[in-house]
Amino acid sequence: MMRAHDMQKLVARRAVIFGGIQAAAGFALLSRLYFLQFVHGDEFKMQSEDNRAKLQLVIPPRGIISDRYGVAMAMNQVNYRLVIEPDNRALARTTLRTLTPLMKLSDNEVKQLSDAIARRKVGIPILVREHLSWEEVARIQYHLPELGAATIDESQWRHYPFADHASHLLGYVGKVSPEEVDETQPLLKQPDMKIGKNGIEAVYEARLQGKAGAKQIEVNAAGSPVRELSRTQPEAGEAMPLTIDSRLQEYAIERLGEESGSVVVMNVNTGEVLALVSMPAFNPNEFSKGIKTGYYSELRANKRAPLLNKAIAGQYPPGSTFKMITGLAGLKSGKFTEKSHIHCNGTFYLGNHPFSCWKTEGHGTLNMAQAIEQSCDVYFYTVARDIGIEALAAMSQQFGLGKKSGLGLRGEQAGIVPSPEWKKKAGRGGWNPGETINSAIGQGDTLTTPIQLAMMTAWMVNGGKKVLPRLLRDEPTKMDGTLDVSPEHLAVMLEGMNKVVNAPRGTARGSMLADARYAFGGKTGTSQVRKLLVHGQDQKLVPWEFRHHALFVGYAPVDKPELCCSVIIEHGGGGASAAAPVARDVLQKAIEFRDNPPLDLTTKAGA
Amino acid sequence: MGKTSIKRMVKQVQGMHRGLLFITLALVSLGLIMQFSASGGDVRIFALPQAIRAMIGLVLMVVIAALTPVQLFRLSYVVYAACLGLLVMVAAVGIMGLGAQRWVGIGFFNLQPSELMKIGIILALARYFQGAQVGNASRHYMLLIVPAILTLIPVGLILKQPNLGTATIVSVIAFAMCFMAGIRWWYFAGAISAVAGAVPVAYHFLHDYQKQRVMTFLDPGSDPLGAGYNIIQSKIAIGSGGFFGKGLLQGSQSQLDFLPEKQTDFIFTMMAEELGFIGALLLILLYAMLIAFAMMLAARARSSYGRLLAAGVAALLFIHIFINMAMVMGMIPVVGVPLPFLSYGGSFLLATLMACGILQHVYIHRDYSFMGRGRL
Repeated sequence: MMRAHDMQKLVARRAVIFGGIQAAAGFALLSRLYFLQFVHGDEFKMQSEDNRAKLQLVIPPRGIISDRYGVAMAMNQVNYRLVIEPDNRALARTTLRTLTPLMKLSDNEVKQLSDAIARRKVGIPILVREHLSWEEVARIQYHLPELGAATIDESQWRHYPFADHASHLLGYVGKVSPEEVDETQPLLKQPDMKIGKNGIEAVYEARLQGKAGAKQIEVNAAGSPVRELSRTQPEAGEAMPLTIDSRLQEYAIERLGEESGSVVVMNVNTGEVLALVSMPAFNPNEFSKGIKTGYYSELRANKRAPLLNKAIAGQYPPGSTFKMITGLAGLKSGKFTEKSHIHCNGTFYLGNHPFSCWKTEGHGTLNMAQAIEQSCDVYFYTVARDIGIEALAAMSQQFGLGKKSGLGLRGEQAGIVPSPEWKKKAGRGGWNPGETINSAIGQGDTLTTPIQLAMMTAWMVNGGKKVLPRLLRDEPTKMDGTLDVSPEHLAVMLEGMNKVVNAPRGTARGSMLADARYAFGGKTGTSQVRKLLVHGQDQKLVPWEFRHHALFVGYAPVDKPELCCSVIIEHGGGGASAAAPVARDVLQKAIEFRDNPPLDLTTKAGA
Repeated sequence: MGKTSIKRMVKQVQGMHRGLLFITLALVSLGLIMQFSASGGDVRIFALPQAIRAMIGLVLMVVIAALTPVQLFRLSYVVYAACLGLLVMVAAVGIMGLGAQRWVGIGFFNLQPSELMKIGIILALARYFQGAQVGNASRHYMLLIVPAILTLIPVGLILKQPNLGTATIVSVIAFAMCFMAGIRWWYFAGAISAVAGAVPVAYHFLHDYQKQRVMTFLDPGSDPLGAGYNIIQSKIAIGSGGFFGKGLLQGSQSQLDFLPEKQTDFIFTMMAEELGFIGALLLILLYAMLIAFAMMLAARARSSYGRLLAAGVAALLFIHIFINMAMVMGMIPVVGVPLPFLSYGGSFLLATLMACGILQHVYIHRDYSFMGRGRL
């Protein structure tokens, strides 16, 4: 048996061993603590900051687009959205059940939302409804205590007060598509970011966008925001006043009525576009809310092409509105003068091939201004035959035809100035002399856009300054030099165009205005859509899509031209009957509006 | 109970070690402060329930301190048997929680008998070795067999819950007590080799989550968002605390839920983050003083019963503190072991305060020898 003394010694020894192990372990713990907090403390501090704070860009308010007087045409509105925070799944589900009768959610919506809750990612709210009305917001606010997981959040959305009355011009905004993501622009990766997809919104995207702000948000481990740590305010995008007079734009649309077509009004000296109308159109507010496939396919299926901006992308044979070009080319060639008389008996023969005048019984003997006035085809057939297609094409090109106007909007078309060279390039074989004759009256392969016709008219009546059309009010006038055409020759065309409206035999005599302030000139055009139509056939009896296009290019006031316009009414019948009255009224209104700016101009323009 | 016995009890309570009492209260207070922070500043969530349990625990502590050595001695097996009974009850009708059956409901709170067993085993083994002829070579095998049975029955029941952490701790306490009882080295050598041999077999029987923990420990970076995530986040939290810490309630890792179970297993992480090296060091020093006090009694107390009680308490405190801290600092695999005084949880707090009561008891009766009392 061990003695008590030995036992005590044993216990003491073991206590020392046990204590030693404990001391060593304690030392190990302290060393580890030192290692973590001192040796690697800075690294861990950085990592914990990374965990805690997330930088989030703040989308800047988009620049306001307004008309020339500051009337907002594209603005930002608050979009109230009802969302469910899915962090607590059970709560999210009961919230959905309460919401179903409250918001009258359809079975389909309920199913989709339940799926979304089941598949939810913590910290990412689920959208129930957006664009809530005030009434809906109030109703939800009232029931909020029973709606544990529901909140109303606010985002910005783009509103177009003119709806489909300026949609091609302004374009619309939409979500950034994968191709549009630019690594150098982190703003584009924000889920709520919208960018311009068409029109002014797209062209001036960079200026309208503004500069992103940033906020540092503290997030928890689940990634849900806890609070905002700091914020730098975003810089709003540039306000963009256009040259458009929204009243004129609205008026032109009203005047077009149910027709499909385009109206362009331009200041002949400054190039300012006062109206750029293309109808029918789409409602960009629907697009801004997220394009619904039903609406979109409806638009696409519409044969009146509401998605097409006809003012810049609609290509039409100019018809008789082209006759001034033929006339000027004839004068420039030296083979014709203003006094050159040509006899029209209703038919023109190139070899054995007859080309008829629209007036089958013939115009008799006419000089050049009279030929414009009465729109005699035979006169210009003769001119074209004698000067040749090259001279005709050269004059067309001088007036900017066959080339984009440079307005800058997406989708603009260049039109076609036919020539042997062009035909060869297009792979359509050799030039047929008969085509020269067709080209003389703006038929055949010749294609122009409404903006080109307006521009052509402007240069014709402003003394030959090649003023380019523009849409931004605060930009200087752009000029592309002057026409290589003598002023005397232009004067002949002006005389002719004056007579079209104001002389007894003018084709648009019916549209003459007695009031000298609004007296205007111009040129009618009726372009064939389908060949081999019998002249004089009642257009009302032809199916819509085969009817002639009605055109009119005009300017006012007639003695001191300042404004010009081009009007195209698709399949509208005759230029004189359908297009000229529209041009008359639009030009008259343009002058009235010019002389009477909106009363609250100062306040709105300052915005 | 007569007047005299009340007087004696009061006298004994007055004999409690003031320093030890101070350390105990300091640790309890620190624990409540951390629970306050773990609730994000809301007293009601963790701090208040924990304070109520601490009050019960402190009463138990005083009661144990006030018992006479003979009373405690006689209660030793009773307590052990009661704990065992509760463990059996858990196995039969216990409440499932966190994938294991660990709790038994008794009225207002759910008791975790495996935590109380930590005290039960200390009392039982100390009781057994008191008067056992440790020095007698001829009876040595018995000296190992009885403690082994006393230990393995509860360990088996706890493992079945399953609760590897607590089972390990009960074994380690028993092991340390046998060591302090003076059992020969070569028995230990045998026991150690037996355990070493059992490890691969045991690994085979581990639950998947337990295997996962071991694997994660071996390579925590391999799965940064899975099981290793907790340890990575814990290290970030501790490391980012630096010298002075981020301030109470200001620990971004803790308050923003990057730490799982911050009120229980990862409470030290939160403390190191919010109170920094200073706070952690203070805590470790308090623990060191407490364990040193226990070790001193383990060497100094007159009776073997007293010495082994103190040694058992020292082992209990030490093993919890070491495993918990080493775990949250990424030194050992993730084992769910609470930190004494700090971790949220009533049963373990009761056990810890009972352990403090035992220490006070041993201190008060450090010169008591049980000599001449014959069979007790």
